[in-house]
Amino acid sequence: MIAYLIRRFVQSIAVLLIVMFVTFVLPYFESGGILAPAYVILQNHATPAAVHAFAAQNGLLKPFYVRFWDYLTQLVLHGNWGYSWKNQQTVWSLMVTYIPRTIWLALISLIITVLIALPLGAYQATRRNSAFDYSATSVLFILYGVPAFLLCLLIITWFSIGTIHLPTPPTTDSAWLIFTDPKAFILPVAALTLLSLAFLSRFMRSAVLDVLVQDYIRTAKAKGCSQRRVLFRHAFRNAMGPIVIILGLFVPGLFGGALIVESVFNYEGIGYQTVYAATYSDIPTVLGITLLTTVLTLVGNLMADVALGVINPRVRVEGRS
Amino acid sequence: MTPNDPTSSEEFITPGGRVSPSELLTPNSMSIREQAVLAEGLAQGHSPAPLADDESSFAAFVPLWRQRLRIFIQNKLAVASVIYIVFIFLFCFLGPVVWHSNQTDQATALFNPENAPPSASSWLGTDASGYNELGRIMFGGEYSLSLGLLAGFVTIVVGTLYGMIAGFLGGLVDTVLMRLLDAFLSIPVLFLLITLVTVFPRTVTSLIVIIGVIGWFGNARIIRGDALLIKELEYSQAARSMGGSSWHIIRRHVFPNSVSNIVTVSTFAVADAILFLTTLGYLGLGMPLPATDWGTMLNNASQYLANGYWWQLYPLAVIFILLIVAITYVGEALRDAFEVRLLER
Amino acid sequence: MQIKHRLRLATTIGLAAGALTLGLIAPGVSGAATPSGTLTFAEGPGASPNYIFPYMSCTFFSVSNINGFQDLTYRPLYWFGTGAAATYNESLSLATNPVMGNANHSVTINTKGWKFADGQTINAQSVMFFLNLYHAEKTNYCGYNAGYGIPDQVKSVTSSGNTVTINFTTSVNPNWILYNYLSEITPFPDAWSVSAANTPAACASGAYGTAATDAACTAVFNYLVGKTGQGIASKLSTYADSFWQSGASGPYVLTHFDTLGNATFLPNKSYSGPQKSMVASVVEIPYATTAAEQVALRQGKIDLGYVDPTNLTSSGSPSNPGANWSAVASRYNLEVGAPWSVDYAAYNFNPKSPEAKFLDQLYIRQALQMTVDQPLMIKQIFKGYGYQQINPLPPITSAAISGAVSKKNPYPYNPNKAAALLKSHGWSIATGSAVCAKPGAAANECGKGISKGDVLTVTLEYGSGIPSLQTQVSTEVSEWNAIGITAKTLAEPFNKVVGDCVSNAATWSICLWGAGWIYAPDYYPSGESLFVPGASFNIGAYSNPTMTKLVKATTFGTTKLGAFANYAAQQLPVLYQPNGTNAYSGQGIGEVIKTLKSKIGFTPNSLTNFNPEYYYFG
Repeated sequence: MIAYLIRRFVQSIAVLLIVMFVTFVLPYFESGGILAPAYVILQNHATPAAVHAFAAQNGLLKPFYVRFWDYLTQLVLHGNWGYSWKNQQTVWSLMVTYIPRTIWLALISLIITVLIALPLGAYQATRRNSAFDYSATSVLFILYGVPAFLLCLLIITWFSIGTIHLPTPPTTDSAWLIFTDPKAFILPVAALTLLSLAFLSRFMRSAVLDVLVQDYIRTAKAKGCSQRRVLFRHAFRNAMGPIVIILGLFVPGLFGGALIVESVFNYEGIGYQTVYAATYSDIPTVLGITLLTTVLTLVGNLMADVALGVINPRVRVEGRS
Repeated sequence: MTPNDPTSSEEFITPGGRVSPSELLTPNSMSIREQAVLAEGLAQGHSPAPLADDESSFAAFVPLWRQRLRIFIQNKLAVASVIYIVFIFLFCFLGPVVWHSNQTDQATALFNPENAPPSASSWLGTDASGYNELGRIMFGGEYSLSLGLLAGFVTIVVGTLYGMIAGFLGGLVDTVLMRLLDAFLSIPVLFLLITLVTVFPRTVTSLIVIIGVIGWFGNARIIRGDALLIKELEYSQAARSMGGSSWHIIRRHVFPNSVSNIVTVSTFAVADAILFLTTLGYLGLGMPLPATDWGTMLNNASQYLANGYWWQLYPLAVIFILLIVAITYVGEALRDAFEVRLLER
Repeated sequence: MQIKHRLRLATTIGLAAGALTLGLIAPGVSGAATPSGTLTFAEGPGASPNYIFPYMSCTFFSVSNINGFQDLTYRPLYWFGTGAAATYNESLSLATNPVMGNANHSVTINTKGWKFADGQTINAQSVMFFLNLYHAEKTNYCGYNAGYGIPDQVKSVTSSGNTVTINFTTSVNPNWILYNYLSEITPFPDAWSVSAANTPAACASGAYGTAATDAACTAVFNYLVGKTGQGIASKLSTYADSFWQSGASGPYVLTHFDTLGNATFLPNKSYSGPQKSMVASVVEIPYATTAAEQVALRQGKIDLGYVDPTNLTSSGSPSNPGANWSAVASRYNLEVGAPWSVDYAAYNFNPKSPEAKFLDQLYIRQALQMTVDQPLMIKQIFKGYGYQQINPLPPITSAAISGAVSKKNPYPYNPNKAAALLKSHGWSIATGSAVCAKPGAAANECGKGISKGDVLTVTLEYGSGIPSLQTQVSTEVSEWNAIGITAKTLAEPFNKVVGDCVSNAATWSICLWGAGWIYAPDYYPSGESLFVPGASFNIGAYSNPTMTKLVKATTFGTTKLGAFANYAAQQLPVLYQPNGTNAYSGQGIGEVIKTLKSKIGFTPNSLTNFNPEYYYFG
């Protein structure tokens, strides 16, 4: 297990380097090349002298490999994530401000999603093709099909303006809003939950179905185990494996999914900051956020692996030839 | 993870019990989880069963297809979905032939009253630019649908090739390709989409390619999983021992066995592509002029939610959501039809 | 000088209201009343303030930083913006009227002796601090225009007591120097003349132009600004500290600020101006998008906001607003102002653009302009809230500045005439797209550089995601296609469009980022930034000796702007677009909560300036 984790760690570093390389190389594809961001940042003040000064100050005049090496050494040796071109802050302080905000939103919604989706999916699997299954499926598919921004806007219109008057999040850069103003979280969390529900519960239904047709379930049934016992002792436990993996993979989706919710509810988190940075060609910010999210994803995967090992002891045997 | 995530839908549709969802989802291909699944399968005596199924399916190819078609047709909702999808396609592509409306000459459209409610001349009213809304839905639909189809196609082609190459060649190539895939999978897909769309000039072609490429990550893994397992199957081994070339093996053995996956995955790829385009529309990054798309239209209409221009939002929203629902139903029904173990029940 | 934005991606404050000249102020409420209430206003969509020191590089030189943020607490030497008109306002200025001397070769500034928040008198030394800093670090101030005005044309500066005299190397137009250069001076307190914490440096007190002063000012600059992210002005968390509060010369001091752009201002007790704050605090709230801001309006969360003009159901005119947006009409009043801007799309004359050879021909520019139906677009797209743009001056320019100028559009909408113009120059439109049949430079031929068989093509790059702009662009494109001009389009997000166009890439031949150009905070609408070769915003590389001569006459001579404007109207250096008030960065269509009162009305100020001290609840 330890050796395996070390191997995974080394692989994760490789993945990180690839992500860094790709994000680093993308701006070079802009029509104006690597100097294009200078024009986007400086806008109407982009005289040749100003662009040159900007490029010199931010090291854009150096060759690609020098920039890449500089960035890498700064990051690894000094923990320096760079300075946002647009936001007048270090990328690190930007991430420290916004990532916790997104995590609070996404985490609470994730917990609620899991609490609803898993029982729902499992129940649907056991009542396959029943009227309940069909209607639940229909509702979930509709939630899957409705564009995220539309759902958020409808929720605001129906529940925040007019007779029902739930608040939307106030603007503050506090990461602890959830404790100081929990009521303001109801609507954005509900929106994100509804948007994530379809995916997770469909997955659960499918995973339980997968297990239900396994031979050992038939065996258990044949042995005379009660339906309930079969479900809880065998089916659900075995279906938990895939679910844990899914949750480990949730991190990138978590950040991406919160993006629309954040922007419609004017709750500035990391998702919205990324859009902002991308449209302003704020390359250091895009780079930093992407890298940090990648790290979080990889950690999430690793944790899922460990969790899987706890749930299913057979894994620890590591049946590798 | 929202449903708009392309990794979302493909991954939980797991055609064939053999390739368990967890295996498909594993970001690190040779991970502990894959082994866990394998171990589980072995421990439960599960693994050999699909082998037998596959061999039988290979032997009795045609009847099985018919059987699957029958299962599909038995699913009334799926049939209704197919009818709906066909209807929407006809509506968007043949509709303009029957229902003439100016959708390209903005200068003329400006003379129409804007935001006019439904009337005899414009059944669904007009939009903020004075275009006939019903015609606008058809016009935007042509772009959303064809772009969704083409991007879905790109997804499948790239994903299939990538997955097959990785799975079949194996070894170092597989490791490198899969690490590359891991890298892409660990970036939030919307971040990547927005970055790509802002970096490259936004044309119809670039949108198709970008949305298509974004979508293939999950698919490549599914197809690779197929290729990996099928490669190991006895008949592949047999073919090789009889002197078959690698290409021959891919074409004759690996590919047909992956077809079921590919077909199912395709439906979801199209739905996801359409949804991606809608998200781009919200961010103001949708189809450039003179075209429009449903995402841009929905976004524009939703800005006027408070003005009571229901004809701009709700008809299109219903058409759109039902379309995604229908495509998803078809995908699920296809999976069921391919689900060998369900056949047995 | 600013790029004019459209609402959705605008970078300006939500609503600004200007002061009328002092004599016109209605004495409704006693200035001595206890301030009460919190005035909340919406920052522009995606444009929150993020820089406090009023000496900034171009990265931070924005309306959201200057007019909606710094100006509340740090007042410039001369204040501009009185109601709808864009004129100089002496009563709110820190100095009395500048006095020109020596045949317009010098200008004398007399400060009024008002106080900074820390008690220091705003005198000649406070002005010299800015001038010395500017001399030492000119390239780090965005208002710097190489070769022009302050500091490049300054010969010497003398100062004593409350008087500063600036001598120029050439004669200068009094309006030009006041509107564009004196307007950008912000007096700084001695407390800021430090090279490290509590280490005074002789930047404020030094003699102008000496090496010792320059060295001291560079040290001060390095401490306050420094390299990217180094200076104390880049620490957002310190913006509400006493260091920054000490220099407040305006009616407010900043008491709370966060990285999202939330700002709280309290009244400045030391403010010496004629109008002290009548509200107990001013709060700025950031919004990511217009949609989010509109939700806040519908919830009644803000007092001053803005609305997307496409929401308005009934038409009005700039002077006579129509009915308000029904969703907020019960709580808010609609307020419309006129922008101090020229709205246009830029032509790319850069020879590396393959389509520049077409745009070089005046008759083709005329044909393009004659197919822009400004009155129709104003009526249909801008709901009446707009002006025709026929020359580079803001449509509301007063004759005092412009002198005699023709108000008649030389190229009114006439597609038939446009098509005939092309035909008469040897273009064949038989197949639907214009193809050059008669190459050559004669009057009835296509023109220099155009070969036989060339298809008349333009590529229009425009800002995406703005519905009204989409309608505007597609209207023009379909008009052009109708007369045979093949128009291709390229849509990019606003900032990208500006970046592409400024970098003069060969990818576009017509660039319409959204609106045009706001003459602020250098308010003089002369063409020196736009139409002179090498000028900072001559993005299409336009070059015409006659135009250059006319522009110089308005900046260095005493000529008014009329001759330049008439020539630019006739020559079409840009494609003029309807000037929509609604497109004016949220300022045009303002929403004001009904409980708010004002001594100066709520007409949004043309120069983007904002005077909340005149507002009160009652």
